[in-house]
Amino acid sequence: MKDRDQTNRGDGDRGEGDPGPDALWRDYLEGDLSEAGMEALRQSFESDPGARPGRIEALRLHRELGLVLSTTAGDRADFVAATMARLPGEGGGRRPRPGRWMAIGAALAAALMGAVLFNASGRSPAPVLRVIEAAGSVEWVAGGGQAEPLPGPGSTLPGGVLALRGPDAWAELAFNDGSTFTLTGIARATVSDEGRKIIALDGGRLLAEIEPQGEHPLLVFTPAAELEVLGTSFRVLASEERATLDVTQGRVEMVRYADGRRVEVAAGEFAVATRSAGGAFRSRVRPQPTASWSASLRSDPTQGRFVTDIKALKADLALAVDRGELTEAEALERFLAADGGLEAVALWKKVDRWKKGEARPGDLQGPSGGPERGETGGALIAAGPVSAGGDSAPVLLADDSRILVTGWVARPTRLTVGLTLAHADRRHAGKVSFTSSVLPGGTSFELDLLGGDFVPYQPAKKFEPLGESLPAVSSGASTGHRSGSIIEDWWCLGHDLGSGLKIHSVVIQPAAGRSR
Amino acid sequence: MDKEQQSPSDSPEEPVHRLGALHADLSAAVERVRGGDRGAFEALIAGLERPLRAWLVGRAWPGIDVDEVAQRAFVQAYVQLHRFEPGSDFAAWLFTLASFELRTEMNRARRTADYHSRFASDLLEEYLSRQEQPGGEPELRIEHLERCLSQLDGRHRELLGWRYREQVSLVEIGERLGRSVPAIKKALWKLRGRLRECVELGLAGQGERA
Repeated sequence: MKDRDQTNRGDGDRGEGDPGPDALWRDYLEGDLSEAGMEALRQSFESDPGARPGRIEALRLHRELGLVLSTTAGDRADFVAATMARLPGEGGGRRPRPGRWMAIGAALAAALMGAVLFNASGRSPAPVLRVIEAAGSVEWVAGGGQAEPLPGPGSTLPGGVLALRGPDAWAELAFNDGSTFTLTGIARATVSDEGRKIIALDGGRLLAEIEPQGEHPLLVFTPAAELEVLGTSFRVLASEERATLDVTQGRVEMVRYADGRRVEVAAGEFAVATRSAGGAFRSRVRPQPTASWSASLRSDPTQGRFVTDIKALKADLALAVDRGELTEAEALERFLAADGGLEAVALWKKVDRWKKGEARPGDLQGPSGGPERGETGGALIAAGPVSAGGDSAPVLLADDSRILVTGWVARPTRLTVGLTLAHADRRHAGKVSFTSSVLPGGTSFELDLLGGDFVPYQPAKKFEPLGESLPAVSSGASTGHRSGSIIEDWWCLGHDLGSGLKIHSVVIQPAAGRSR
Repeated sequence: MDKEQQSPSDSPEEPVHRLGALHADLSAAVERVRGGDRGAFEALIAGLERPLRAWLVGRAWPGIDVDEVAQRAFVQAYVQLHRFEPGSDFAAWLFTLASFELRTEMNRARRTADYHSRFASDLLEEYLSRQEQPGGEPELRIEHLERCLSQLDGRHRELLGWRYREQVSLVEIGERLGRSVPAIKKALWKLRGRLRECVELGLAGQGERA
């Protein structure tokens, strides 16, 4: 009762200029706490442990009210039905509206088949896309099914599949009517324009500026939702589990597959559709930009590593269990931690390939001198989103922003830390990077950087071999990055395959208080 | 904290023993599913969705979509059912899977650092994962909360319905009631305080009215 007395003791009555910790907590629960208030609340939480249990109880009741008041008997029945629809196997499939996805597949297959038939008849398929810019490992699969590097700027293409293989990759393409879209990071999209533009985004981040489409809106399909776009600018981040839509101009209609519900998202708003029918599905005002952000990965089993192939991850983990290298619980934990399709197995495979003789000798030697598994010693790359859209406030980069990266490497190596940037309207603004000097192995590291240390990143056309494709060491003196941009994501590359890179935390702060 | 995080199955048993009455039904349903009756899984979801979601809301940060976590746990249970040991407690096994899913979701939130996780990620996780069930089990708390809500007057129930069921913004609630946003926040805070007290009294066997 003492705790409750503390939380209720009326400092919520204070004036707005002097909010007490309980008023801050109240604002936090209401989703109405500013960045400065968040920091004040954090300090209060740390300095007054006696008040914590009461606040946790207040939080708990707040959450329970959400459950009780937003869940009617009908909602519970919907939950059961939606969950059944997500079960794999006969009849249900993974989504409650398999017919819709069959229609999507049929539409895209018809579009791509058109290209194949044109090829078979000796005529070139009609180009519907033009390459504006691309960098990193970007592949293009046209109707014939052969994956090839994306051709250079100015090249025209029929419908097909655009696949980006690395976090440092991006590609910007234009439709014939001048509508443009950009994919960044690890992503895959199937694109067609047979009278109606269709983009099926399997995963990754898509930014688009779409000209007015008349009676046939552009359709964007993601695993969790469908977007109908008449003419606007928007950004969507899609994974197997959710789609996050941010609209910059105009309006976009979003349909959640789980229950068929629709929301209209206007400029300055966002909406998140998950694979479940529960939870809030509505348009909300996008949060204001912030200058500070942090990600703690120490307790994250992936420690930021990338995985691109969930099926391969399952197979690798099953094998590890069979070999007695992992318990089932450990394997399950690692699988579940590899959420969203942006994970590390592709790199495990790459390490395995290199182990089989394609790698340089010594690259795969662990600290003990023997070969290491990718999961422990071959984690070449770590990455994660920063301004992920939705509830995530856009994070600004300034020349004097502080970027603090901490982690661990098994062997001496240089590291490249990269950032993907966007303009204020969320159009792609390029990638910047900083490359360290050689860090000592077998120890923790801390890179304490300024925004001005980052220079425009020039990735090799192909992502591998990784160690040879990295840019030269930067002097740190350039101010070539775009100050005032929004940081979309970060990534970190270890230059040596056996570097055993682990990232513990990434922190972005305003310059105040920094000493160098 | 690390120890807590490495023992995901440390607490799922807490809410499960209350499900003993369901145990026989659940076991029968599990056997039917294992025998190829996919539809029988619906009975497992219907029987366990409420206690599972109640347990999750007590442990998840704000901003975590517990429905999504719960659904993913059910899907994992279905996919992994061949690993379930017949005769053991299906509910306990499901809650363990859910604890993994919850941690995954928290990891995702920590990486994306949304509004809540910017504050909550380390500070709240420690408390939420350590939290004893102070007044009983999660589902029982929910039942008491429903009773306490039914005892509020209509005006207060309407206010809570706007906030939690319809998710009306504080500004709009203020406009509807002709009051300022700080006043609405304070009213909600006081109402939650009353409900907390009612729930705790109920759990202690003393609560008769909110």
